Amino acid sequence: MIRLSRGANAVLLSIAAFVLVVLYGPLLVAVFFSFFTFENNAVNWGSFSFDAYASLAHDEGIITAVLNTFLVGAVAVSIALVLGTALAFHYNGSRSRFRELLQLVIFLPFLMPPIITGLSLLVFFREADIPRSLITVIIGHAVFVLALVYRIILNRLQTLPSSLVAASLDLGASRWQTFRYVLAPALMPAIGSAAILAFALSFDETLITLLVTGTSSTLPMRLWAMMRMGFSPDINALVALILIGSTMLALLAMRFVGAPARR
Amino acid sequence: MDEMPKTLVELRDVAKRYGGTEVLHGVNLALRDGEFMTVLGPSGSGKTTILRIIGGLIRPSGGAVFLDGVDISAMPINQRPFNTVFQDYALFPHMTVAANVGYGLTVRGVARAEIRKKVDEALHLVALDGFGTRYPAELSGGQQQRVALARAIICQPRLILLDEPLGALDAELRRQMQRFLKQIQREIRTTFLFITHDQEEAVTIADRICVMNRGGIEQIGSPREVYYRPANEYVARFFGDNNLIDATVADSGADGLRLASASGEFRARTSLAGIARGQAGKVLVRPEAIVLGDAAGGQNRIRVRIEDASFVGPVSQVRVRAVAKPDLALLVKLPSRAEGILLAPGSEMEASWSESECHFVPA
Repeated sequence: MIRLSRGANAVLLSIAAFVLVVLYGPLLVAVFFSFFTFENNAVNWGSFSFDAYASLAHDEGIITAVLNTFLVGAVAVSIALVLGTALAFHYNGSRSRFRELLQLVIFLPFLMPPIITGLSLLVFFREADIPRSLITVIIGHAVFVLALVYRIILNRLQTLPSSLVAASLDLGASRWQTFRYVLAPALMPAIGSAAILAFALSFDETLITLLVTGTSSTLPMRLWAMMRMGFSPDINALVALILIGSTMLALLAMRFVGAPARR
Repeated sequence: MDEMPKTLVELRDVAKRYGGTEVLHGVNLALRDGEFMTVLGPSGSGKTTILRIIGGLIRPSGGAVFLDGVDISAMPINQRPFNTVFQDYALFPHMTVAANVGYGLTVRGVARAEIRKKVDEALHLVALDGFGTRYPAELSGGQQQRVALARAIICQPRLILLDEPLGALDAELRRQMQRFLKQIQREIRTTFLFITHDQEEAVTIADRICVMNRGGIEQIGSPREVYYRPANEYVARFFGDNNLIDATVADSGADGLRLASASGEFRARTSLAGIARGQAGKVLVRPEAIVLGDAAGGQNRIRVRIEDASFVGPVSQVRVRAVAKPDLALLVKLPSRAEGILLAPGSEMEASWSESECHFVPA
């Protein structure tokens, strides 16, 4: 193991601290001002209230956007999980050269700039005469997050000893029983973390959504629209909620990824 | 043996090719019902391929597999009445020991109470009573090994296939497990096919040994046959130390062989058929069968000079060289003595061995 010198470690640590402050510091300011108001160039300490949050709860536009976001995320992730698992099994089990091509097709929407993916989907939907709606958004998100889900599940599948499947079949299990009793439980942590990460991706995906949506909007779009009119306490409250939500998702994902294999 | 043992599984001309390379060429093997057979060979000899073909993990490229005389070559793995103990044990990590052991019954839809009873019996058999609620990761290597064995025997298979199952264990545990496997095999009276690359293990554990080399079978026989009556030079060299002397058959009769060599004439026995006068080959004599000293009487005698003697625990190894033909070196093993072996290097004496300890293999 190569060890860095004390000085190098200190430099790295200060850069990390600086990045942390610059990146996430402003968010704390936003959270702060979701509770307090700013008057005459000074913080009004007496203004502490949950008013911003209360008004969010009464904003129909916001509530619809939140519900849309969750709906799109849940459905798109479910589609991606089913397809991703099936495709991972296909890649792992097949020997044909065709599988490499298929894998490239799966990865492309994730690797290409979102604007390309969004535009090509948009053109496709128009040519196929599919009206833009939440359904097209769901399809777009599923295509986008599929690569991630596929890769995580395939990764786990490839590290599973092949003798587990052999042992199950050898003991008289059918292929379906082998999947049900041996493979699915072994893949569960991977499927769980793939679902959370894919949901987080879908949650803040803006560009593709913008291009393929109809009249309905998701939370990031709503936030974008609100910010064009300046920072209001509502936006601060929304940012605070998103921060809490995404932090919790990230922690959950880390738990799944780090979970011992037998659980 | 009073009656001819029944053949359980038979391989007829079984071959396996991967792409252009043939890893198994035309193998014939008959496994007797109830025997403990080891398949022994270096890595790449095709021994694991044989196990996988019998188990149904892979299909042979040629030939056929028979069970009770019925061709089962096309029978899928999950319908064959055989179970395997894998090299890495292949225990299901997310299942308890009891769930692992009962798996074969669970997938067959056996009633839960019945499964619990059989699991307890199987765990008792492998001396793991009370381990049912643990997870494989909480067990030692030897314990995991026994869980894998319990899992394989619970469905009462006709044949248990063991793929180098003791490879990962240390020497002492390995010896314990060898005795244990043998004991279990006797108890449940099931045929075992045990793959190993360890000669000592194969000899210790087996009723019969199948020696493999480069995708073919060199010899099938009891440990004693394979050790003392090897079918060819490969097997003769494979098991332990051996002395091989170039010779040709001078005369073959009912009472044995007369062999001519540059170091004189030898008398040997052979179990091999079709050995005729003029055939060239090797005279074999085990180092422990040679007696040193002028008083010793054996049919085969050579005058030798002592080169050196070294103490290696229970036996001492003595290197000698024929006086008349100095390029013939022999290895002799003698029981060690506390005062050492009183053989001075350079001294000359007779090395002799009896006809029954002497064997001939054609080249």
